[in-house]
Amino acid sequence: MSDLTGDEGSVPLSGVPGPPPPPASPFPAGVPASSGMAPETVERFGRQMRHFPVAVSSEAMALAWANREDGPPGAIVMVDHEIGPRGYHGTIWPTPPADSLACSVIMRPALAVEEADASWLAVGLVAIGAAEAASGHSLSLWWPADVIEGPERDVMASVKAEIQLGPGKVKSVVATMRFDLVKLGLGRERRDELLEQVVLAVDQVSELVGDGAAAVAAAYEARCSAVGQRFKVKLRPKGETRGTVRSIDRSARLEIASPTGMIERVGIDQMSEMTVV
Amino acid sequence: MSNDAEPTMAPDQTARAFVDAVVWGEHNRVWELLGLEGRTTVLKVASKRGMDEILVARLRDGTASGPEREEFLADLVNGLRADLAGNDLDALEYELDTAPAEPGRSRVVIQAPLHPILGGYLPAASVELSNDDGQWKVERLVPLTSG
Repeated sequence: MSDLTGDEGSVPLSGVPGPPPPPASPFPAGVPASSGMAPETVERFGRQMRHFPVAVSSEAMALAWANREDGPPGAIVMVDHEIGPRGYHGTIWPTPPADSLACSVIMRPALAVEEADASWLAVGLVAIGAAEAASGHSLSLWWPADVIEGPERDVMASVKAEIQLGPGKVKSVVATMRFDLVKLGLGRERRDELLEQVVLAVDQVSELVGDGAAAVAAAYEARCSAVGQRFKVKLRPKGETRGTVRSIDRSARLEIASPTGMIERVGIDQMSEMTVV
Repeated sequence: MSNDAEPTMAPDQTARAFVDAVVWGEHNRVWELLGLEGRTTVLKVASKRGMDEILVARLRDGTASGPEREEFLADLVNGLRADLAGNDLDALEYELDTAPAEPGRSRVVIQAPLHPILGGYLPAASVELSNDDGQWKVERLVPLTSG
């Protein structure tokens, strides 16, 4: 049977080694470790908020809050130092943590499944609204995940929407935004000011989402500088399409028109690379 | 993108115009550059894949409704794009096949450049054309590589 019977050659019961001690947390004191210790939730700007000095990403922490603890809409997670700051299609956010504001907001928009990707547009609108209000810069959106400035399309912020679907509707969205504080001329000392603007922008955009995905798409289109430009779009898993961006539909798809009027729609998950031609 | 087909357009120019139209999604131009044989082949494939015979007839006769025609041509363009997928479509070279062909027929070989370290070209596709009243029309696009 077992070798724990005390027979010769086996390990005596009294000496059974216990499980190895848990590895030391790689995070500084105060950061929740994997022990399941509940992170501290505070109220700031009228929202529930969790602040982590170090975490895998604000998105991961907000996802856990939304899914395991039924985090309320509007709840915010802010992380000072993200270990894996991944955005659209896994792109790494290049700005050092010290010069970034990384935050994720739990949203529960009333969107149908087929309109779920409009969440990306909503997050983009939150990011541009907050960045403009805090910095005074005039910015524009670049479908699907960037907030840019000027003809050089300098990236000021990047967004990601992690969408959780329920039966026939969107269950929750974790809206992740990363801002480049230096490019926005804010510096670290004005980070809280930007965070407050994020909260205000979430409220404004949530109202817009209440008007439907078409209203969100129209608002996004009005701020998107990709509209009207000619593109070569590489698609996933393969292939490409070319034409002029005509509009953005309520499923957040780019509508590309050919010179003879053929319309093709490129969804957020289909796009691999976009080049202006 | 090129101008309307002209009697003076050489086979390789027609092939280039056709591929450009496919790449840029100029669906009406693609149909315009297809010859009778090419259109028949395309409609036969559509029929084999389940398209309603009446719609096939309407498309052949040019009496299909606008949306029907648009949808069909969009599918055609996407099918042709799939045939060309995997090639650098901005760097294709078109070369007239000088091998003897039937009168009124021609063949153009489309080549894609290899990586500069390797040098040279790889055949990507060939285009078979026929002369219809002085205008070269595309009858077949034969992909030679797959993406």
